Amino acid sequence: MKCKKYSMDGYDLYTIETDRFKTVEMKMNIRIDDSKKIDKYASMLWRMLVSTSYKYDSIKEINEACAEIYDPSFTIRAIGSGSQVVFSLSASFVNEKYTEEGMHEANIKFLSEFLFKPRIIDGAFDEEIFNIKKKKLIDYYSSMKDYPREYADHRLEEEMITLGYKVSSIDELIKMAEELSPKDLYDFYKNLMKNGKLDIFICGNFSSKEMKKIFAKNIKFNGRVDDDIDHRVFQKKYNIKPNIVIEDAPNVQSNLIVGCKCLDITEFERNYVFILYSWILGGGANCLLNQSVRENNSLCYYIYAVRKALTGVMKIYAGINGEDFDKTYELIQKEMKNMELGKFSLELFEGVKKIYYSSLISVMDYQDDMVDSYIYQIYNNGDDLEKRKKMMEKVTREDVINFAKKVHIDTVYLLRGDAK
Amino acid sequence: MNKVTIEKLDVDVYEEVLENGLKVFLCKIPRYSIHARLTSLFGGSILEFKLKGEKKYHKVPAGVAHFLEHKLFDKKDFDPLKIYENNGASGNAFTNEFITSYHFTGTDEFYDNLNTLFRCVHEPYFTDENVLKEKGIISQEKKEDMDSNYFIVYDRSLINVFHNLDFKNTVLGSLEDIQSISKEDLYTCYNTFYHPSNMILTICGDIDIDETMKFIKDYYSKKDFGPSKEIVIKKKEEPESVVVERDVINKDIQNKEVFITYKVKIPNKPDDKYLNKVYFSMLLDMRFSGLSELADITNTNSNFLSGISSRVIPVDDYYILSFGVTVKDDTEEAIKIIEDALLDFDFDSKRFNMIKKLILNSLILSFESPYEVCSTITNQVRLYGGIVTDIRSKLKSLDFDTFVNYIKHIDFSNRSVVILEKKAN
Repeated sequence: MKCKKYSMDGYDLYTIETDRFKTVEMKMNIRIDDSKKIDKYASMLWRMLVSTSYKYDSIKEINEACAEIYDPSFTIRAIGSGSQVVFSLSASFVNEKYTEEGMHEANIKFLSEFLFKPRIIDGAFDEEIFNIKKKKLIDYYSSMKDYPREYADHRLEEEMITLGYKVSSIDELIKMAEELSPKDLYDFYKNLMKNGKLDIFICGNFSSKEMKKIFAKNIKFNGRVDDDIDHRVFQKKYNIKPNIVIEDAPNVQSNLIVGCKCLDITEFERNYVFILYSWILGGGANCLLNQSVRENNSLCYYIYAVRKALTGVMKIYAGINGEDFDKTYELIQKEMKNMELGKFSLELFEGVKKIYYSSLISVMDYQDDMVDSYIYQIYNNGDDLEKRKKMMEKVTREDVINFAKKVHIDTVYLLRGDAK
Repeated sequence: MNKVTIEKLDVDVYEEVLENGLKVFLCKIPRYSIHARLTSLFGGSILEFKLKGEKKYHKVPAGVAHFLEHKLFDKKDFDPLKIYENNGASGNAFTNEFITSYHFTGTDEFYDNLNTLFRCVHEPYFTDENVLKEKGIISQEKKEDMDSNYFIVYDRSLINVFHNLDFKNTVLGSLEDIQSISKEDLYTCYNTFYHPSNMILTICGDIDIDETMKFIKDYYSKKDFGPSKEIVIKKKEEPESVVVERDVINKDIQNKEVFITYKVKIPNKPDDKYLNKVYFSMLLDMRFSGLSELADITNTNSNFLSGISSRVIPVDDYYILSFGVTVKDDTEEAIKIIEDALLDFDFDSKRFNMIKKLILNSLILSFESPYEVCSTITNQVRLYGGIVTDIRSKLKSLDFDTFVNYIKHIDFSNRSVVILEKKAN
């Protein structure tokens, strides 16, 4: 797998050639510094971009145009990536070798227009569509409690400051959406196009030279050119006495999230040791939490840990009975302590390493994983697949034990159901 | 071994039925990961059965197939998931209404993983103690569904649509069902449905076909499963009508959930079961996909907070056609829009041909990953008795006039609606 980088007209193009797939995978990412201000625009912007077009008047027309070019699948989302927000158009289409010549260019042109040629009327987004989308967004925020896991996650984010500012509450999000106008959103879009950094990644069975020509002909960008963007966020403090928030809901199950911060970690720890730590603690059927909370005490069906390496944050999720909160939390604390004391088997330690090596190999089986792997390298100044294996080989049990001492519970959130 | 080639996709599948009756399908594609899947034709909708020769039918609680799936990972002296993980692989299983599948995906130690899969499925170890332990875990799995608005309406729709078929029970069963399942129930089901003659093995990835087949045969030559016996599932007559036409469930939620189910007798023609299902599914593509007028309605009508999801599954003599949507206020508007779209028989041949082209296109994607290949083969064997090698020709033969004639003769009058909403003050 080789990735070629081309400096294009205002952006970087990365081509990944592989003959193992019948499809072509593409990502167009625009990065912009995160700040609280973006809350106000991000969700509305991707909703507008993905469902409107300067050329077509309706979704049906857009889909008919898609069908003409063999139905590419695509989505646009605003995704948090440490200190940055990435507006990402992610698409997949059948290689023109299996359809007809010219379809690569037709797909790229068609898809890129959603990002770069939105439907603008009199210096603002189309007001009629904007108002419908705004109403739907407000309804989405207002009804978030109908989706317990999503709601619990948002509430934990509100309570646990991880990005240097307090995440907007659901009420604040609603208020901001209500105040947003089609012109405000277009002004933000123009700012994104002016100050954002565009990178395009494309992976498939094609000639990179030909691909470069297609992009040179169809896409120009006038945003940020330099690539000196640091996605990392450094956690500097945590609640020594964890903030425990309990909220009642008319649900059967209770949703528990334990939010942890990692302080004073090295880059080696952030990129490698953290992976092993989170997998040994909460990464699979044999991890400490699953064995303790699920298998030995039958307290839950799911319990797992998710790490956010760029922000140095880890969250532990579990679905439990409300009355079992104390016991579950106690077991989680106990297993985190066991990590500090090195009370995990060598077999488990070696096993998760093997899973990591296996995951590096299987990256090559999925085009989106191949693209994401390069995005990881480029955005995080990360190592290539070969080096990642070598670095992981260096991680010792002691490294994991030392890292465990740097992981601190900061906030605990329980959305407590009736458990009847 | 018999080699069959999937037309126009450059995919070869090697198939063989072993002496014990196990159907084996091996497929080599250029991927580093290998996916292997051992499937029992026993799912959540089978609750009364016997082996041929037995006098009485066994009756088991709902949820038993799923419970059995969980318990097959519990062993006296080894842990299948630990072996997979130590090999850098991932193992898991799932149960739906019709089947239970055990599988792993990994890049290394293929034969050790395959041996583990076989031992996991063919070496049951159920005790009163480990059955009791699992009840708490599965109850939590069930409780998650009970908090999902979608599952609340879906689960109720099953009860409201089926008079007699055991399909009316959910795959997980109720909390009471889960508590009532015993070790004896598990062994009864295991001894009936886990004979290799009732199972399908599919493996796909970068495998050596001959070596893999040899390994499989070696393993099974050492295991004596006894003679295969015909399984008799108790036949239950199911009227064409639904049980409850309209049902409202109250819950403290902000939006409203609508779930509509149509119970449709499967048309006699075309005889080809695959084409019969494709023609029926094309109705959904014509009326409810992104190419339909509905795509714009759900996008621009602020009452619609989600798109309209649709699904068709064959159950016994029926196609069960269901639609789900989340709305802000007006449930009647959603029901009317769906019904009007379904009953509008004024079809457009241009759109038909466009959809036909897209279905052909999507065929390429279904053979891109080992997981998808195993899934496709298993489903085809279950539904059509073997691999459909000429899918492309069949799809190319789809004809607009046949489609219109097919749809026009379908009776959509048996409908059941479930609404989930906040109780009115």
